[in-house]
Amino acid sequence: MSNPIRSRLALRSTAIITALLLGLGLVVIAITAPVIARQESASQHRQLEGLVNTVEHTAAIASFLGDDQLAGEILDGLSNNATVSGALIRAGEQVLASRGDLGGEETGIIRRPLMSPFNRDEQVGEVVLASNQGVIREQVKAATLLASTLLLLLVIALGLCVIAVVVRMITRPITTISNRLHGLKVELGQKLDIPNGNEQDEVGRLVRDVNAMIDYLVNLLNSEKALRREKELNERKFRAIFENAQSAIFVTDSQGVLLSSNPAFLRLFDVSPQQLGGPNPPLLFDLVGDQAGPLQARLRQCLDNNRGTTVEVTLSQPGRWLELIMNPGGEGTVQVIANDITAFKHATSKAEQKASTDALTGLGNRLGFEQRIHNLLDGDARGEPFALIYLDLDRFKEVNDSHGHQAGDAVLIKVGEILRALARKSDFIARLGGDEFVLLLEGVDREDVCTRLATEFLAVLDQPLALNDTLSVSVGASIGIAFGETGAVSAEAIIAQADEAMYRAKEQGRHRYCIHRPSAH
Amino acid sequence: MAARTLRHLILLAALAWGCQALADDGAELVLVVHPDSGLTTLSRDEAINIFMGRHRQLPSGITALPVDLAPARAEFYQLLTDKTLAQINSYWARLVFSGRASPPRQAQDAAEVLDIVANSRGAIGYVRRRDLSAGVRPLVGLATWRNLQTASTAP
Repeated sequence: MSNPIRSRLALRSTAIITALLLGLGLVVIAITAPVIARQESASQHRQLEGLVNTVEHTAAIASFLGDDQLAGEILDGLSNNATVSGALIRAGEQVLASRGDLGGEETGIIRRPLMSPFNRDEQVGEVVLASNQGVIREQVKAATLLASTLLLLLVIALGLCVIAVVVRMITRPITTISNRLHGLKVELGQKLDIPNGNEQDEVGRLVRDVNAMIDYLVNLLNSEKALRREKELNERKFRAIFENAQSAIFVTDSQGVLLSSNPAFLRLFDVSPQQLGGPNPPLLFDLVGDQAGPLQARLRQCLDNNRGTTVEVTLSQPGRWLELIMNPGGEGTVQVIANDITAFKHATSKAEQKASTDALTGLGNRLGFEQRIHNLLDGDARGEPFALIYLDLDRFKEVNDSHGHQAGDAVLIKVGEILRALARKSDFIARLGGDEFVLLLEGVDREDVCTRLATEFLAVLDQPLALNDTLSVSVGASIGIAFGETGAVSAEAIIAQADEAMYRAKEQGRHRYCIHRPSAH
Repeated sequence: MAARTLRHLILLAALAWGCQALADDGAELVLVVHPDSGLTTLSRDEAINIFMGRHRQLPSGITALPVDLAPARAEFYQLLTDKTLAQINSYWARLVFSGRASPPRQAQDAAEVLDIVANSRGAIGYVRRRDLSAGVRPLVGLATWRNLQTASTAP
């Protein structure tokens, strides 16, 4: 409302129309004023000519007779006219009579030759009339002013009419509609009324259009509202699942920036909400210790292939296992569900260990050995040397028979301890069953390592084994040794070779070792 | 317009014929002056100037005294100025108040004209040719001017 001209349609259109009309009026006046002035001037001139016409005949007689009296009377009559400033009648060259001022202005002077009344060919004199230019100018001015004033009045009247029409036809209906619109409660389904008399015209159409738009918008609003409610419900549902899930759920990008996470995530990675919301939030890779490199590689892979993947990660610090199920979340993000599988891992490894361990000696059992050798040979490594030592006790059956199974078991335990003491930590020792033992020495290709081990073992057995304070027993051992390289030999073949070498040692008189040599075949 | 012109021509022809006939019986109007006026001839313009009051003297310098022959006045002015008597009367009426010029003296018959002219040196009048007497000098017959006029007017 700062500027009424700008805020009111009627005022503005009036101002514009008035300005236009005034401009137009001025142009018309500018064009017509000179025309009016010219016409007025010409009319004055014609009038003067008329005056001359009136007196011409009598003036001719006065000139003809040289009658200064008559000429004077004529000029007196002429001088009564306001537009006449001066007049003169000549007879021949001689001035018969003159009145007023003939002035110097040549433009206002009318000269009329006077012919003899009896001979049209004989000029007897002339009449000279000087017009009063000042008076004529005044009259011209007055005429022009009158015309201009009339035009101006017309313009003003026209402007007023336009204002009235604009107010009546446009502004008032629009104001009415606008006022009704302000008070309209659309959400209650209220509609605009068409102002009286505007049912058939553009205003009516406008109102109908507005009503149609209100309908459309209200419908749109309602469906939008319903949708939003449904969406909110869903979101709350999902939010609850997300918040209450026992699995850590989070979204990260390839740089490890955590975009969102649930409470379980905080618990799993032992991060406080303050840390995460702080100015320097930890990256995902900061939370997984030495697993950062591999994890980043898997994240990249997941994004590049645009395919879900599962990773198991060991956190060395708290000693835990995590399973991360990664799915691409679009726009370079990865959605991750992380579960703590430490307990499961522990249970599994315990079960595995149990299954592959000989309960009596604590060494590996046959299953453990088979897993171990297959792991070694079925792996990708090529040309890694290893040695396999097969070992069978001699006279064990006698210990069992004479001293009972308990003594036998004690012997087996003792042998296990001896082997464990002789072997390197990395060597795998298993009891395959009964009194049969095996050693798998990875990375060993030197005979002397194996023979020394065998020799030392045999030397220990040379002495009787003290099972307890009262009982000592003597057992021997037959040992078969075989060498192989990963990728060059199968598990079955190398086992057969070591077994064969052991039987050879038995055949050669027991309590000794034999080495399988390929050249021996 | 054409009809009017035709009518004028017919009128002129009739006049010419009539005047010829009049001249033949001495009806022609003749300007007369005193024998001592010093005039032997007079042009039509000089006659107009004298009779219409413009000149107060005869070309010879004597104060002019024009005399109208009342019964022939209309005919005379028609021949002299080609104007009707009404126009001539109107002319003189305008000049009544100025008093600078006055109409010719009016004579009721030829005898009076002849008498005035014979007794005044500056007098000038007109009578029909058959009324001429020895006391005046005939100057010019008006038929001459009419003929001149006819000649100049008619194609």
